[in-house]
Amino acid sequence: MIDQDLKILVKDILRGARFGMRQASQLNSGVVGLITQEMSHLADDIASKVDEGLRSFGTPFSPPSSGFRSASRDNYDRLGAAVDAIKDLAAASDEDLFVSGFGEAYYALIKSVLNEAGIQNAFISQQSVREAGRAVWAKEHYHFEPQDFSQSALALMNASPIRNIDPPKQDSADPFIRHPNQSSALAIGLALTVARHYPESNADTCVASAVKAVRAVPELFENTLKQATPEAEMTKLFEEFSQFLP
Amino acid sequence: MVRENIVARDLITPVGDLVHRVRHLGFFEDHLASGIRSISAQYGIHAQVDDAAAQKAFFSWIRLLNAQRELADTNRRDYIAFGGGLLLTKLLEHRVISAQQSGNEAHADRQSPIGFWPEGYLAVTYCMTVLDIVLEQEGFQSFTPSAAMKDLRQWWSMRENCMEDPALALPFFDLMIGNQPNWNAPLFADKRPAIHERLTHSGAEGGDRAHLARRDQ
Repeated sequence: MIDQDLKILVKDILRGARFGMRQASQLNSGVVGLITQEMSHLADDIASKVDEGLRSFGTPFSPPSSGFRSASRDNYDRLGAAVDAIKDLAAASDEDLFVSGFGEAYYALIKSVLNEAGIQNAFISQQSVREAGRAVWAKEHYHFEPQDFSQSALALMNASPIRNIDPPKQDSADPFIRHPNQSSALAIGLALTVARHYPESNADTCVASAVKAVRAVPELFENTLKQATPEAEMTKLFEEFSQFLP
Repeated sequence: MVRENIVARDLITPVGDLVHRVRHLGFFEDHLASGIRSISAQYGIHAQVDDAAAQKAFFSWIRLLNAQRELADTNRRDYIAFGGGLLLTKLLEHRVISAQQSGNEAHADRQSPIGFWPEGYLAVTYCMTVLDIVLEQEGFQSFTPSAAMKDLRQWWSMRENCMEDPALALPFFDLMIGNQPNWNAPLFADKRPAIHERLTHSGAEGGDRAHLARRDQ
């Protein structure tokens, strides 16, 4: 697992560099922009080399194969795989497997949610997502129930994996721009509740509808965090809204 | 069956079980957008649906409707009409539809309801048509649009009142479909004459009484 942590750390550093370079290339035009674009591609290449290199040493990069990523949906895609991986966290037998699966799947979901919210350039620390996974593991066993999604959402908010975003030219009052960690965690929790209620639904559709809901009535979702029992209130709201989605 | 111009059954794609399907955001967004597009084209109006506003309107509508669903069995037909009127209220409150006359059409005349208030007319037409379809699908007798619908004063009054309090769209909607309106507390289904009567007389079941008791606390 030290290899795994090291690899994630290196990847996070490279992600941070790529984020900065993408930002710079948007700000600069002409030669400077071209150079930063090239450097960004270089960072991408290094990141994939790190992946390959660590795989060749037998690092358990992927979540455990049995059960995880089972092609149980017709619309099997990366996001669908992430949802399936989260479903299968309930079967993870030890912390490392759980954290690994949690880190991969939630990282993919965060990226997808931000993308759906119109944020194309963001720096997400996978190390922080794994921290959230450890916090969830430490509480109790995971059962792919709405309360697990609320617990994970709170853990993600605490870990704040979204370190930086390049705000798109849209309404700055947008909850995904104001509070990207909070809004993404809420949207993921809601999307998973929808996916659980409607297993035939496409994962993309669940995520898209959850982003719309959090964006349409952010005050309702944010209000759950101010309650004495935020996890319970959030679960109740996820359950209520999942009836109206996707 | 097109009984009156205001009900645009032929302009809305037929789908089964509309009463349940329209309670899902994805379906609602598509249905509303295509319905408004078809209805506005029929009248030569260029109309747009604001997606973000439609999403806000949807959640506001469905949560309010869902919170009172235990009254649905008291008088299901009236509860369905309440749902239609409530949707109209939310479409107007959130300014979901924007519309412009597209040229020299006869209805550009501001003396006609659609020329006078195109957004309101389109929203009423959509909600009335959905209500007509749902009532038929659920096996209820439909409604007869009131003659007042052709009276511009009625539309003028509705627009003025809704600008001050969008909830008043609901009793105006009831008037248009021949129902007794509930002007005092339009957003509360148990205050609707047709439901209230059942609750306070023979039709009230224990659950309904309990609901009233909770509301009145």
